[in-house]
Amino acid sequence: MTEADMTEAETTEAETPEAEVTETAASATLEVKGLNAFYGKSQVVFDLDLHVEPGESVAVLGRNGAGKTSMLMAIAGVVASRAERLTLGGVDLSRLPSFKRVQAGVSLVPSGSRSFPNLTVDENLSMVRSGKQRNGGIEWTVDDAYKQFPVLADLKNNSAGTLSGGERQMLAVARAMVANPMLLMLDEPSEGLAPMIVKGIATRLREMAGQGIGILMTEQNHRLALEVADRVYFIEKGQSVWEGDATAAADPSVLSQYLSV
Amino acid sequence: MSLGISLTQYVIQIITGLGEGAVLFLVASGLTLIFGALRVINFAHGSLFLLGAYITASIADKWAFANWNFWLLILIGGIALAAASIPLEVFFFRPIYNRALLTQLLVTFAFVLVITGVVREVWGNDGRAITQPPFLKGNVDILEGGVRKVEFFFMALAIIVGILLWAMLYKTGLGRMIRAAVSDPELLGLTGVNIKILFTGVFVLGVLFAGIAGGAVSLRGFIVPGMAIDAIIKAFVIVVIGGLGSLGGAFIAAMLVGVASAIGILWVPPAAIAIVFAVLVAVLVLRPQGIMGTRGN
Repeated sequence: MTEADMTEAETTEAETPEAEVTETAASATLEVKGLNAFYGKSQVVFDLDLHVEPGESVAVLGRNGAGKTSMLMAIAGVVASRAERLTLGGVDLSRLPSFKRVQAGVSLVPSGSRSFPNLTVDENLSMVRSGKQRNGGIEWTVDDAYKQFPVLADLKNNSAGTLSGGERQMLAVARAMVANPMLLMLDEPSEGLAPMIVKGIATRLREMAGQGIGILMTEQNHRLALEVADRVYFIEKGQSVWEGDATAAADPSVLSQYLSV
Repeated sequence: MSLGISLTQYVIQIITGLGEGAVLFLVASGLTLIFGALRVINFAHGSLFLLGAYITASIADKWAFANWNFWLLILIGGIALAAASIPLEVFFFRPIYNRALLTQLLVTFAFVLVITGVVREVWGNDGRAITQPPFLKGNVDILEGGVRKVEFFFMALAIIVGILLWAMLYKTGLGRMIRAAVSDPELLGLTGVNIKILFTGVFVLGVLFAGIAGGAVSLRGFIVPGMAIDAIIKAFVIVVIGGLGSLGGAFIAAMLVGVASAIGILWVPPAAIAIVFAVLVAVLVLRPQGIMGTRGN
């Protein structure tokens, strides 16, 4: 964390053009340069560079154990990391504790459709610390989340532990939505879900991107990722090995080189 | 009745046991709150309860318990103890939340010795008498015997504290966060909640209940250092029987343990604690997750 000091002087250059700031709702570029992440003493992410523009969907693909989850956890501040540069909309995230990164606009939907099983659906949603009004007027409320996911509205008073896998993932996405992030990160959002549910979630993600929110997702299974993403990174052993647009990434030879086991 | 014990004696022991159960609930509610959210097994909780009793007794030395002020003095004692526990959480408990059980046991047990040692050093080994508020003196006549008035006060206090705690957990935003922390603290952090501050708050709240329980017990008119061990053993049995982290379970279990130990005193006084453990074993055989616990917790 101490090495982050060197980035201080450069933060101003991250500003997005002013015209864009007024046009789009949430305009904040995620810039990651030289990210190293650690679990205890072992390093799991090495000198990773990546960026996510406002309204852009970026997928990080790679095999199991490639460091995708650690990368997201490091950006969210849950896992210890060191970076030359880790900024969102020019704001240095590197020294903020994880809850402050949420307030700064970073929202992570961890893998496994996690929710608070002993709380009701409504409690799960209403407990989120929302970054109110940050998105230039657009503010997702709990009611908006129910409109987007009518299934959840019907289950409002049920405890989250009774939901099906798909419903729990909708809840997880809805929870991230009401946090009003500028950057929404999702770890394996399609994992274990029926294609119908995945489609529904993909639609919501596209809508959120349409409002200027940057989306960064990891996938082992590239189905959802290539459907939603504009740009793709492949990572291997904690290092970025390929970057390009989604159509190029969909090429079977690329997919088999970086994803097949 | 068996063993030549009269019905009156049974009735009186059962009522006294409910009073004892009420005190145990106050101790165990703090313990279960701390365990549920912080996942730390705090063996020092009984010692904090003891310290609360002595602090309140010292306050009562200055301003004697009267009918109008005793509840205020108990509350002041509880708050004083809770305030003193803030550095305890920040410097000693915070570093062990994610550590192995054995580490937690060693650190919290160290505080059992430290706190009990401080109490014995400052207030002496022999226990001390406290002047009760006038209206809690004496007995309530039941059948041919009597039950101390103060036991009924404990029952009322346990019900009031139980309701307030339930309302806090289920009707307030803070309670929602505490319950969320019980199931997934990491996810709670990812929703933008400052876990460190929340945990300090939960710890201090749990200690407040221990302090209030200690202060309440001093209303019996006599406190001894040995109360700490007795309280922590029974409170643990209660937390396990009730289901880890469950408030309602702790209430039922506290009454069960209070009554079982009171009846045990009637049967074989030296082995009263064995009856408590017999209840523990029986409950765990029938319901391994505890009365109100959920499987997998």
